[in-house]
Amino acid sequence: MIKYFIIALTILSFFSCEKVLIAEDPANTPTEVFNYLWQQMDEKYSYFDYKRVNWDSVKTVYSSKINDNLTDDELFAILFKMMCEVRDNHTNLISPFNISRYTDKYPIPRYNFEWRIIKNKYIGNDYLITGSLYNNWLLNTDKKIGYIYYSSFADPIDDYSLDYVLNRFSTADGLIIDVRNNGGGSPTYIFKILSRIVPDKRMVYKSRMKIGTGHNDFGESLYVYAEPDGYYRFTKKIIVLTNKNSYSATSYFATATKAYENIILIGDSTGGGLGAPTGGELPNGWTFRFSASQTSVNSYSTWDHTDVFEDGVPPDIYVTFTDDDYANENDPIIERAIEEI
Amino acid sequence: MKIKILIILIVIGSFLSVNAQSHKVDSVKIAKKKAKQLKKASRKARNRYILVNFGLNISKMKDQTVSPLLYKGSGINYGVSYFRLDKKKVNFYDFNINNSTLNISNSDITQGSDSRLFKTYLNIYSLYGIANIHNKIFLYFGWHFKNSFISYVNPKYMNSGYIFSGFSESGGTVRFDLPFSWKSKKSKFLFFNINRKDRQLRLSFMLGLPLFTHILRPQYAGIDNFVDGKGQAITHEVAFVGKYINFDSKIELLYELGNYNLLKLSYNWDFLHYDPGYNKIQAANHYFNISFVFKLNKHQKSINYVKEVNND
Repeated sequence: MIKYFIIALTILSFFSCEKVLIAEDPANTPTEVFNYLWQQMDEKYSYFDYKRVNWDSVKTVYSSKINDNLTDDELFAILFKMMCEVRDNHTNLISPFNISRYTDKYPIPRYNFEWRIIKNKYIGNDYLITGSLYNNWLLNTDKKIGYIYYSSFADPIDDYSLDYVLNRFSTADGLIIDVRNNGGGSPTYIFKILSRIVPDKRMVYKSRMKIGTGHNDFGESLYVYAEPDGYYRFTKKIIVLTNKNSYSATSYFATATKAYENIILIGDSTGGGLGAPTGGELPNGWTFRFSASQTSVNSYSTWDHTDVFEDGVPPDIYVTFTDDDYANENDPIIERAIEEI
Repeated sequence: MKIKILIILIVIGSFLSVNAQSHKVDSVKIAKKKAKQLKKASRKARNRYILVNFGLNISKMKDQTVSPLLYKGSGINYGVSYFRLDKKKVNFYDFNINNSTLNISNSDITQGSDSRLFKTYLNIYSLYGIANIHNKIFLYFGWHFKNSFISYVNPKYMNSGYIFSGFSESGGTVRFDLPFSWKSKKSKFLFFNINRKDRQLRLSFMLGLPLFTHILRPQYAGIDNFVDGKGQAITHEVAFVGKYINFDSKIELLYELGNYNLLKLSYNWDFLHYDPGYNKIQAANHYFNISFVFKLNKHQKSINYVKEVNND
């Protein structure tokens, strides 16, 4: 009997070899954490060349500030400053005590959006909340204009909401879709909306992902199309309003509108965020995210820096608030949209 | 006249020849049919078992797509298996699900959050008895086909919060069986009188190695190119021995219940390693299972699995 147990024990000892086979975790030291983050960005961040960032120089500058006696607060500050060198809103460092975000790309004197003014002057308090779409007829204008405010692409839009709102505004001369202060969310809802307002199928932008460690190692272009769909649709004049707080999926939405003549972009340029962000973990358990893809407008031609809107999608008509507008409770961006319809 | 007779003889001769050939064809057909029937009968005579498996597992995972850290945790397993055997051949079909919760194994790191590991696997083995070592150890060798899909979810990684690995592999498997028995024995432990009856048991060790694998993994960046609102980009590749490593070893102890059914205790260890040059994944799982083994063809006067092979 003993021999069987000896055989069993021999076999069991074989099972413990995973300790040898699985690589050891990197050390939880500021130096290791710094090196790991730098390397992850070096290998996977997508806009180094477009933004003319010399990432090796960045390492030289910031590594001199790193030593293993740093506190968590100090390390966090240095790491995020390093990440800010790429000037990208899709860059975050997340620790239990702070979530950093890149905000000093655009000095924003004013937000170009004031919900109080919109309610008081343009849509009143009896606006409808249809799913995630705030909507009403515009007040104080001779034209029949429907107004829709969509605050986040993270809020789902269903077919019922779109059918209800578009049926409501079916007799309108034009439609305003306000995506100012929309911080982004799921691209799925970009195409939900577009399918109801585009007259035909067109390529709206293209995208390519990092597929290798080199700064220009990208995969094949993914050509993205919008096409008509849904029961109730609106293909008359549409004005889309943006500001610098329109990020990520909202920038994709704004980019897509450029492909259609019946859609006009008015306001300030968006805040950017046209790289799909990937996420990961550092050796000390903090997490990070940054862009790992590039996006360009509707051109089949080769990729160059002229058709990339990573720094913000420019409006077709540039309009911003003045101090008087705030004082007089006036929204010049909506006013201009009314003029255009 | 002579010519006429010759023609008649030729005609009769050819008729007889055709008839003889058709008899020959018929006899070949009958022989083939008999062989087929025998094969069918022998296949039917194989003992067939269905197993219901329950158990616990300890899992370790390091997926460098999202983290350089080793995650460790535990969970439950459940599934069903089927096997059939005769003296020469054994077939196994295993379908199991493993659901675990993992966290950072390094206790110095306190900001970990739970990762969910959900693994399904379908394993098929076809093994042939090839040797009997000193009439004590039975050696089987054959092939396996395994399909496993691992879903690894941690919202902490945001857009990269869902990582998957799909492996479809084919390779060789070797199995050693060590049948033994417990003789009846009376003993006392504290206040308990223990009467142990004669029991046939069987210790098995099985090791599988892949030769050819089809792999599905996230793209290099760890996310789909989801900007079209659909999300469809995954990488897939075919890997041969060396690039993808998957050790799969199992110890089983079969215990005869006396009504042709069996109880099986098993310990299964598997280790996988895949390194395409980026986003390396390494994982190890320890499964402890208890299986209720039901004999499907009890009406046949066949002795059960443990005894049958023990008596080989």
